[in-house]
Amino acid sequence: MAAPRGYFLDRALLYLFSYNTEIEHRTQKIGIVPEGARYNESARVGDSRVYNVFREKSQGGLGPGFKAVTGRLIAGFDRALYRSDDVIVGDVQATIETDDGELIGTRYRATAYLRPGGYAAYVAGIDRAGTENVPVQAPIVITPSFETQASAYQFLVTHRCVGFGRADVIKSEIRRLSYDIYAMT
Amino acid sequence: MTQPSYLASAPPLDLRSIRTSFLDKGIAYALSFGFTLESTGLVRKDERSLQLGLRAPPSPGANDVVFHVLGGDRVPGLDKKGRDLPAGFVVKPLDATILFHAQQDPSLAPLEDQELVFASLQGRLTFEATPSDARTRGEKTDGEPIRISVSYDGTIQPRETTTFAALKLPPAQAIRASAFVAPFFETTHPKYHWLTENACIAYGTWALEESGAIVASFDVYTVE
Repeated sequence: MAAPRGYFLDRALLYLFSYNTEIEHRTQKIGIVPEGARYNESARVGDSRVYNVFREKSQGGLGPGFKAVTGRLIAGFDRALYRSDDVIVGDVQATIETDDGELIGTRYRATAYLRPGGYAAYVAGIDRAGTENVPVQAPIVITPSFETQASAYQFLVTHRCVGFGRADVIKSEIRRLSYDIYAMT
Repeated sequence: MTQPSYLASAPPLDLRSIRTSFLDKGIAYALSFGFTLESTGLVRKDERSLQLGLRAPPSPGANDVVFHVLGGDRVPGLDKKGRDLPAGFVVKPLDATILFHAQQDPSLAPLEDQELVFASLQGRLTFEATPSDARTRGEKTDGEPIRISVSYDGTIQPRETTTFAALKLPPAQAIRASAFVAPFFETTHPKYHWLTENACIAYGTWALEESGAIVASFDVYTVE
């Protein structure tokens, strides 16, 4: 067998945009399914924002002619699976409408770790993490890909992205999500 | 484009209350692996894309193994507590599909003359412990080797300007690309369960060799 590669491959992350989304309080608790426990959650569309942390108008790092992504979410839905091995895996679909009226679709997987025994405690209703005054902030990471026909945002289509996020958790329910989206380059 | 009617009553965006700092991001090296695949054929999907089907070769390639770039079988992990990586496991690809895309602009030029901008790929493979691996031997009592399921999807971007005309089987000249994928690990083995607890991203090299084989190598990172 040949000797394995002895050096790291180049890697970089390029900041693209951020978004906040409020989550509807009425979680659809599908309940226990063969893979774990299923919970469907929706974004509160009117309260969701897509923005650039730097308030830039163009997308830096990709050359001229690329617009910064700003706007709002007009749809967002997550089929979250709380797995019995204490891992939450989300299956999210969302649509962004940019300030210039273009539509960008996205679908991605979200991953978060509860804690050892977290699944059993959650489905039994024992866990009540976070309060209205002091929400628990939990890290969530997503790996989105984007679709759009808008030429100004084609850079989203050609890149694989990763989103570093935080979930505000109140009484063990996610109430707000905030992400910074980066392109892998 | 005018605003859709269902948003007519939505409040205007107020950016003053929105954060101006980045969220923390954690990224930690997890493992590296390589794999080899055989091409099964090119199929034209539409006016702007071509699909390459792939399958596992009869025997693994020389570099189809899980390894640590710096040697060893431990990594610090995101929490710096130390994690075992499945070093020495054989990579057994199952299948993969790659869709090569032309530019978004539907120009009148025939597909063969258009530049290959990027490709989307998805596939499945398995990491499997070898019986000769003394470190893992005996960890499963049912006689089955330890296996880790990996599914992945992402994009590849050619390193040099390439047209669809050059995309043949086998190609006259190797087509090399950078690959960016999100792998998803599944295992119940407690030693490697940490791979399933965090999202992962992988940076890689990808090549369609003159023989028609795909040779790829990836560095995987866990992110938080």
